[in-house]
Order: sequence, then structure tokens, then C-alpha cells
Amino acid sequence: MSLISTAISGMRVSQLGLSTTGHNIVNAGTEGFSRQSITNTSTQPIQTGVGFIGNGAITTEVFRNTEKFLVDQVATDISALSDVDAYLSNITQLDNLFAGDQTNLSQSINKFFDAFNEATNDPSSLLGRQLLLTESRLLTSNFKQLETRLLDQNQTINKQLDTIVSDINSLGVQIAELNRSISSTFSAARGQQPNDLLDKRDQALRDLAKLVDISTIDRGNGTLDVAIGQGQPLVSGVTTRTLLTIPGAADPARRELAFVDGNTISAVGQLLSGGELGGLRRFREEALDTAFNSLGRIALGLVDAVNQQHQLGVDLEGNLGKALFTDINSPVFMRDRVREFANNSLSANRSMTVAIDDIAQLAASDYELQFSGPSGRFSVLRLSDGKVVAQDMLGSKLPHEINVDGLKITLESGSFQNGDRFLIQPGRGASSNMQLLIRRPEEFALAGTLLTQAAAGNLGGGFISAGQTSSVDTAFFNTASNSLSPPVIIRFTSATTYDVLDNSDPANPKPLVPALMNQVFVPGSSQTVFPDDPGGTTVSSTGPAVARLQFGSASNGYPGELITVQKTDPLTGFITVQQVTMAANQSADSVAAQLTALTGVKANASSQMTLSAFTSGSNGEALSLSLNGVDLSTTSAPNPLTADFLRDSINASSVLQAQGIRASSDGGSLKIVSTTGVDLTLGLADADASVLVSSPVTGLPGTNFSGPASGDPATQLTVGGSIDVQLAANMELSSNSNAGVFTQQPEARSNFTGYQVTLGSGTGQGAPQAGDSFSIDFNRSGSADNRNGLAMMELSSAPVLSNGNLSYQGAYGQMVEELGILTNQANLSQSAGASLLRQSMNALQSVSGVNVEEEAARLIELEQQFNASARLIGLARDLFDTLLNM
Amino acid sequence: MAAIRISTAQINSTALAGMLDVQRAVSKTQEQITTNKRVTTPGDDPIAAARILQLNQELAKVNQFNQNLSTLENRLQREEVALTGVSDLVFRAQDLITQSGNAALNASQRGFIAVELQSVVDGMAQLMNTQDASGEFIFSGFQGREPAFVKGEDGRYVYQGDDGQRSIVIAPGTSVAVNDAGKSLFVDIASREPNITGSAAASNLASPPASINNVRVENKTAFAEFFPEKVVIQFNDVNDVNPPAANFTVRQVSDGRVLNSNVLYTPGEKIEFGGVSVRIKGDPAPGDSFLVESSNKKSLLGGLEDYISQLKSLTDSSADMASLNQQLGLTLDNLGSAQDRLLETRSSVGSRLNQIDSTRSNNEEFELTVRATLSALSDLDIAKAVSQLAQESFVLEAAQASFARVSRLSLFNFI
Repeated sequence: MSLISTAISGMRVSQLGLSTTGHNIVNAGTEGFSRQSITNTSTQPIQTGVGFIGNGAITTEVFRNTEKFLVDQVATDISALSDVDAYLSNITQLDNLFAGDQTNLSQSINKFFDAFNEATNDPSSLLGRQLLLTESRLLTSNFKQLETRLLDQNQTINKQLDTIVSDINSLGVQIAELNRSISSTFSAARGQQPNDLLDKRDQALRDLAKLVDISTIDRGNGTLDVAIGQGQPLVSGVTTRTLLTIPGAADPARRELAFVDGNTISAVGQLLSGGELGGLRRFREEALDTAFNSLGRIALGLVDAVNQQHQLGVDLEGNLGKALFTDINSPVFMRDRVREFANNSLSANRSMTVAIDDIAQLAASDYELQFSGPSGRFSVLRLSDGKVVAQDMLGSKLPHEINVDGLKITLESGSFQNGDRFLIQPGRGASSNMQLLIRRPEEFALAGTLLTQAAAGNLGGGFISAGQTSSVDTAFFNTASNSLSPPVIIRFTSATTYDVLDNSDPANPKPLVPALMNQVFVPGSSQTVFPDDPGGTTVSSTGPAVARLQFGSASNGYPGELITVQKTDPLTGFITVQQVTMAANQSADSVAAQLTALTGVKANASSQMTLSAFTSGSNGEALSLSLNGVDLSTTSAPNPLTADFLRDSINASSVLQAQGIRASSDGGSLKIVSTTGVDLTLGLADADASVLVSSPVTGLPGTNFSGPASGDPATQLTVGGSIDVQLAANMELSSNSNAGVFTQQPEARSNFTGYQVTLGSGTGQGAPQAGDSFSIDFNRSGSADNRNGLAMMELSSAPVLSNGNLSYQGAYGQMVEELGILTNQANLSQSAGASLLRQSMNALQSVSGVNVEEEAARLIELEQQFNASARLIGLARDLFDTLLNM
Repeated sequence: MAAIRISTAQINSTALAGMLDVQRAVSKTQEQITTNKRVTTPGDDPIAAARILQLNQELAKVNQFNQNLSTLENRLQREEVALTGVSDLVFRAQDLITQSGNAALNASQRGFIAVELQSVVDGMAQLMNTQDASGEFIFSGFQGREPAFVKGEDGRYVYQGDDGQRSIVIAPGTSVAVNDAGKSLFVDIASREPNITGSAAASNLASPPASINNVRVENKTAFAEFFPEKVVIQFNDVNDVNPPAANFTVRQVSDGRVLNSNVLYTPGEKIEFGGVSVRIKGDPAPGDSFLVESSNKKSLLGGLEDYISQLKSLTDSSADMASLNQQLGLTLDNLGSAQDRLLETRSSVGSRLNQIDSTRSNNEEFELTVRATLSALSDLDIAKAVSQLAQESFVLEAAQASFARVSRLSLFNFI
């Protein structure tokens, strides 16, 4: 009987083998299927006297051909690849967006400046201006379109995240279910593996790995715990947690991920990496933010520079230019740049603004303001490189200003508490909020603001430049009435000196406020006229001692004082002090020289007096008058003395000329001026003679100056000079006395006109002549003027961004390059990831994959075995028949 | 070591992946060939992509410069034509003036010459009011919407423009003037004899504005003494005189000396000082002022107009004839200076036109270089790409054929 049972066992084993092979063949194309094999062993032999006789074969096990570490490797590689895949497919879109012909910003910036060029070449033509208007509109819409596309992509990512999260949840449930089935079969099958269920679970894990990084722990009872990302448990045994998307804490438009446990929602955004989820999040932070910020910075830079320059011009209708686009620091924009985190401490009464102060310093990055300690300790983090760029304590006083990277962050009011966080996005919305404010072509300000002209009657060879404007926000422009306040005339008082005068009344120009008199000109040179320092001030000597008539004295009667010039560094608050000690009776010209020797100080002195009512003395001769020791009344002097005669004799004296003294007469009165500021000392020798003297600086009425009593020495009268001091920015001048030339805290007036002209001349015959004048007016009807247009054109390639290193085009190129590099890298990692996955798949397949040929061979083998076993039965029957037939 | 097993799925997927790879390469090469671009997206070659953007911008700039050159050329050619015309008319005026000095002519015959001379003046003014293609007056400085010269009430031409000179950028850092203001060209012509001009202050309030005209030298000796003084005529408060009436004060600019104080104003009446007379017309407001400047310059048209009025007014008396002769000499002098100025400007225009030519060829050269670099960066080497495509398609075909053949081999075919 044993032969038959041996044969039957053989047939059973072969049949099992055949069905396993069949299972393998039909599942050759099933995803995740592992090739199954059987293990056969010989049955317990029968012990006989001759020894152990074999009793057939038995199948002990059907097992999967698999290798845990290969399965894990494949899951890891799948995660890595689908991370890159998700990243790549998104960044390719972005890459194409910025390089595409229709959306290429570079081209529309070019077109804008092209149109500007056309309009500038023909500033009075409305045609060119109309084209410019159209191109300006197109430019804004192009900026808008680009940012909208970025916002759309952000939305798409939000939707993709939603889908992924629901997929993760359903896979979690599926795995938990499989855990349950596997563990129950585990116990029922007494250690036998439910091969196909295990395959299914492995496949589910692979599907999950596609979405996010996974790690697994085998519990030993057939269940597998699954964690996603960086160890966030998703499945434990047969239970799962639910993942969901929530609005981002700082930016609600950006969805983030959170686990729900009962009633608690815990955000896990940063902890979920790998897989499609990781790829999308990485794209959002690495590429999309870069694009947003770079685009924003270009928009801000363009708008700011164009606006500023445009406001320095004059339009076709004689008005100062308006902002071309919406101001980058409009109140709404300043508020919109800040987002408060949703989980900040309660009493959300905090208010803050972010202004952009200096485009050149602006980085293409978002920032985070964190209150991270007691007593208002805060830090500002630049997100592009994670650097802390500012750190300070918030004092008790609000508003508090934080200046960082060209931003001015103002904490206006409210209670800022430890743990509060704010996201600052300087460039966000700059493109989509860009709006053209100009509606009519006439409004383009292509002309310059100044019209400088040489007077028709100029005899010398002086000339004046067309002038440049750097700011119209000074007291010297009236932006409401589109005029200069005041119009200015530069009048040469000699070939080497000139006065800058207020020409509001052309019949009677008067000194500017602050004064700019007695300026020195070097014929043959070219020199600027106005102070250049935007923070510069002028202080004038307005003390009670200045230019008083000092009767009976050859000195000016100045009491002497200590003049202090103090400079405060605006950044550090460091104070530098310079001092000049002015001696009693020291002349204004020497004080001015001492002051000019200080750094940041330029002082100008001048002195003047007016004489009239020349009354002859008792001896009946013309009065004998001297000025600074020079006798003015020679023998040919008329009697009574006339102002005209004195003028000629003063102007003829080389001694007086050397002291910068000139005189002019209107027939009745004589005006004596020294452009150097020396003391003016009059001497009168005739008894009973008199002359009416006044000092115009004091504004006091004239006083009679009489000669000496008969036989006495000449009487004297002295008038000292006054001083105008130009100070650089952040400087203050003070005096230790209120009785001297300067008051203790003299008034400082801004001397920055916001415009500049250059005077030039030839030498000799070509030098300016006294009386030559140059006028500076508002360029009201400069329809053919294109100076501001030319300045605007220069912006097209001006390096206004990144500390003067990048033009708009350069910045755009940089952004395209950055995105290109990211794309390129993603492409490379994609092929690397794909080949890694292919390798690990190959390794796994070489273990668990079905080879149909192999199975075919196996079929043949098993068929032969089966046939042999069947033959064995036939043999046994033959043996039995033989016995029966005996 | 056991040989590595290969699963059937693996055989298929490997073959498929291989074919897909080749197919992708074929399609990329084909895209490159159809667009003739090596770099189709920045991701292909980020560095080159940024450089391409930059080069394209440079090309756009050159294009701009070339357009500017055409605009400039057009303007300068117009200016040249106008200047040549004025120059010809100056010759004609010189002929007529010389002719008018012929002692054989009588007053009425000189009158005919005066009429002809006036038509020459009108012709000059017409040329000086040349407009460009978009209607801008090219000799008005910045005041391009105003004709450069307009005939005033006294029949004399007045310059309306300013000193403005506009420029145009034709190459990086190079800009060239597109116009020459009429002021320096036609107005500020050096003159042997001092000359006088009057103007109303821009800040005058009267509406309609009062005007100053008929500014002329009455007494040469007195004027020569007065020169180079300037005078301001300012209208005072009506209550400064009794009974209240419009009145003005004449004051020297240099020292404020009052020449005539509180003179009652009669519109159009002669106001005289320093050998000069002017007339003010209209209704000036208190505070309005008029500047009378003497200068050593005379305008081209003004000089001729002066001479015409002399021609018309002088009799055949010997004193008048002497004065006419003197005036003739001066006027010819003035015309000579004007002619010199015209020649100077024409040669400056000519050199600017030359500069256009040289800049244009420079720009062309630059463009060529940029295009070459651009092409090297972005354009495709077609021959290379085509041969690459051929090779890739060959590989693809081979892969397909071999896969089809290999997959036909199976043990199952034999059982």
C-alpha cells in the first residue's frame, strides 16, 4: 500500500506545485504580487528491519519570495522620486511662465522704455505719449498677470494638498484593515503567512510612500505600525489618525497640514516631508516664494524709481509730474505687508506698518518678526537665508521703528507679547496692485523743471547749465502752484563774485532766505551754485552785536564768544564737537575763515553800510572822509560831496578792492559793501561836517555821524560784518553768549533747494562782468523739452536694486536664472531618483518577480513529476494485478 | 554566485522604459529643430538663459538707438535746409542793402528796396519758424509749440523761444543735440554798436498783459554813455500820485538809481531815458514791471528791420544820407556776423550728421556681435541636431524591433 500512498503524496505535491505555479503565472502582471514558492519535504519514513523506507513527499509551506529591506528600499525610493516629480512638474510651469514669449516681463519692460524713448524724442507729440500710455498700461497688466499666475499656482497646490491628504487618510484606513485581517489569519493559520494579504499591504504602503515619507515597525503579531514624514504616527495596529488641511497660521491663503486627535488639531506642516506632499511643500517654499519675492522686488523697484523721477519733471501742461503708478508706500500697502499669525496672544489690537525706505537695500525675501522673550525682546528673521537681521527690545514707548534691509517696520500700537509672530512680505501684492495713475497722454512729465536763461544784456562770457532737479519736496518748489518759490536770479557783482537773489519781483531782487550772497566765482572754471546736502542748513549771524554802528571806535565792538559746531551721527548717536573761539573785536572775515576750516562748515562774511546826507563842515570845504584809512575826498572833490563821486573814488582804490570793497550810488545815497566781510571804518576829519550812516543789516534808521570839534583828530565809526554759515546735515551751531554775533541757539534754515545749476565762463574777455545775470525759473511751457524723459530713460538700465548691483532687467534675469537652476536641478534629481527606483525595483523584482519562462519550465518539471507519480500508481496497480493473476 | 533572476514584468518594463527614454530624447531634439533653439526653457541652461535675456535687452537698446538716429537725422536735415535757406536770404539782403547805398537812388527808389527787404525779412522769419514732422517749431528752444518769431504790434519780429537745447541718446552714454535754439542762432548776434531790447516780466499780473515795444535808440551818444546799464520800469500804486492814477518809476538795475519817478502813464506814449525810447501799451497792474536791457548784440531780423525803417524814413538830405551810410555799414556788419554764426551752426549740424553715420555703423557692428553671441548661446547647431535625431530614431527603431522579436520568444510557444 505504501507505494500507492507514496505515489499519491507525489501527485499531491506536484498538484500543489502546479497550482502555485499557475497562481504565479496568472499573477505575473499583478502589481505588488510576490512570487510564491512551496517547500516540500519527504514524509516520515517507515522503519523496517532493513532500515527506513521512504514514504513519499509532503508540502510544508507556501511562501512569498520577498526581502524586507528591499521592500523598504523601494518605498523610500518611491517617496524620493515622487517628491521630485511633484516639484518638477510645478517648477516647469513656473519656468515656462517667466520665459514664455507672451508672459516674459523682460520684453514688456523693454517695450515700456521703448515707448518712453519714442515719447522723449518727440515730447510735444501726443502720438508718442499715447503709445507710452498704452505701453504703461500693458506693463502694469503684465505684472498683474504674472502675480495672478503665481497666486493661481498656489491655489492649485492647495487643491493638490487636499487630494493628497484624503488619499493618505484612505490608505491609512486600508492599511489598518489589512492589519486586522492579517493578524486574525495569523492566529488562525498557526504561523502560516497570508501571502497575498501581505502583498496587498506592501502595495498599500508603496502607494502611501508615493504621497509622503513612511517608516514602519513590525509589531510581530502580523500588524504593522506606520509613521509618516518625520515619525508622525498614522496607523498603529488597527487604529488610524486623520490628517486634514487647515489655513496657514501666517498666510491663510496657503494651506497647511494638521492631525486631528479627538478635539485637538495639531499642525504638522514642517514635519511632513517626502513624497508628493513634501515635493509640493518644498516647491512652495523654495521656488514659489522666490518667484513672488523677486517679482515683487522688481515691481517695487520699478514703481519707486519711475515715480520718483517722474515727479521731478514737468508735463505738457506745465504741471509738476505726478506719480505714474500707485505709491509703494500708500497706507493700504504698508498695512498689507504684515500678516499676524493666527495663534498670536489674544487681544488682537496690534497695529503695524511696513514702509519701503530704500529699494536698493531690499532683499527678495519675506521676514518674520518674533517676540521671543520677556520685556518685549524681539528679533527679525530673514526667511530666504534664515538669518536674524535685527534684534532689540521694545521699549515702553510706541510707536517703535525697526529699520532693516531698507524696510521701515513701525509698531504703532497694541500690546506685543512674548510669543507673538508676524510675517512680513514686502514684495507680495506689489505686482498685482500696480496701477497706472495717469489717464491722459499730456500728463507724462518729460520736461525738466528748470528754465535757466542768460540775460540778453550780459556782456561777459558766463554761461549757466540747464539745471538738474533732485527733489521737489523742498521749500524752494511750490508743488501746489507748479512754480519755483521763489524764482531766482544770479547776479554777478564782479567777475569773481555773485549774489543769488530772490527774483519774485524782477524790478527789485532781494536776498534769498537763507542767504546765498557774495559767492566766489573763479573765471574759467565751472562750479555749482547751490548747497548739495539735502540735510544742510544755513545759520546766519543774527545776534544783537552784529553790524552795530560803533561810534568813536576803529573796531567793530563784537564782544567775543565761543562758537560750537556739533555733529550727531544719525545711526550711532555719536556726537562730534568742533569749536571756534571768537576774540573780542575780531572781524567777520577772519571768523568766517576759522569756521570754514572746520569740517562740514562753509562760512561767508560780508559787511555793508549806507551813507547819505553829506553835510559840509563849517570851513565850507567838502568834507574829508576816509574809509578803512583810504582818503576818499581828494582835491577834485565836489562840494558838497556827492554819492557818485565817493562811489568812483572807492571803486578806484586798489587798497579797498583788495578788501572786497565796492560801492554803488543811486545819486543820493552811497552803498558800501565788502564781499570779504572786513570791518568798515569811516573817518571824518572836518569839524561840524556830518553824514547820515546806516547799517542795513540791523534794519535800524540811520544815525548822524559828525566830525570832531575843531582841531581834534578825526572821528571814527566802524561797522562789522555779518556771517552766513552753511552746515552739513545733522550739524548744529550754538554760541555761549546771547550778546554776541550769533544768538545762543540761532535758527537753522534748510538751504537745500532740490535743484542745482552750474555756472561757467571763459577767462579774460570771456569772464563774467559785473551786472551780468542769469535767471532760474520754473519751466512752465517747455513743450519741446525732454530732459526728464532722458532721465527716465536712464532708469531702464540703472542699477537700482540689490545695493546698486542690479537693474530691473538684471533682477529679472537673475530670477529666471534661479528658477532655471532649480528646474535643472530637479530634472537631474528626477532622473537620478528614477534610476535609483529602477535599481531597487529590479533588486526586489529579481527576488519576488514572476518570470513566466521560469514558471513554464517549472510547469514542465511538475508535469513530469506528476506523470511520474501517476506512472507509479500504474506500476503499483500492475504489481497488484500481477499478484491477483498468479 | 547565483545569476540574478529577471522577472517577466521587469523585462517588459525595462524595455519600455528604455524606449520611452529614447522617445523623450527624440521629441526634445525635434522640438529644438522645429524652434531652432537650443535653449527652449531656462531650465535647459539657466546661465545661458539669463545671458540670452541680457543680450536680447542689448539688442532692444541698439534698436532704440537706431530709431533715435533716424529721428535725429530727420530733425537735423530739416534744420540744415532751413539754415541754408536763411543763409541764402542773408546774401540776398546784403545785395539789396549794398544796392540801397547807391547815391544815385532817391527816397522813393529806396522805398522800393525797403519793401523788397521786408519780404526778405518775412521769408527769413518763415524759415526760422520751420516745424518738424510732428509740428514742433525747431528753433524755439523748449517752447516748441510757439513759433520762434512772431510779428509784434509794431511790425517787428520778436523771439518767443528760450535757450533750450534738447538732446537724444544715440549710443550708450552718448547724446547729441537735436536742435539749436533761435536765441543763439538768430538773436544774440554780436553787434558793433550797443543795442537795446525790452521785455515784460514773466510775473506781471495784468490781464491781458501789457506789452512793451517800439524800443529804439533816439540819441546814440547819450545811449553809448548809458550802456551797459539796464533799466526797470515798474508800475506803482495808483495812490502814489494825486489824483490817483496809473504811474510808474524808471530805475537803474545796477544801483537802484531812480531816473524818473512816479511818471503818469499814458498808454502808447514814448518813455525816454538814456538816449532810448520805449512805448508801453495796455493796462499794466501796479507792481508790473518791464525790463529794458542794453546789450552788445543785435538780432538778425532786428538789424534788418532797423535798416528798413531808416530806408523808409530818411530823406535825400545830405545829413540823412550820411546817417544812412553809417547805418548801412553797421547793418552789413551785423549781417556778416549773422552769416558767420549760420556757417558755424551749419558746420556743427554737419558734424552731428557725420556722427550719426559713424554711430550707425558702430551700432550695426555691435548688433552683429551681440547677434553672433546670442546665436551661439541660443541657436541650434542644425546639422548636429539632425544627425543626433537620426541616431536617436535609429536607436528607437532598434529597441522597438528587438523588443518585438525577443518578446515573441517564449517557452509557452513550445508546450
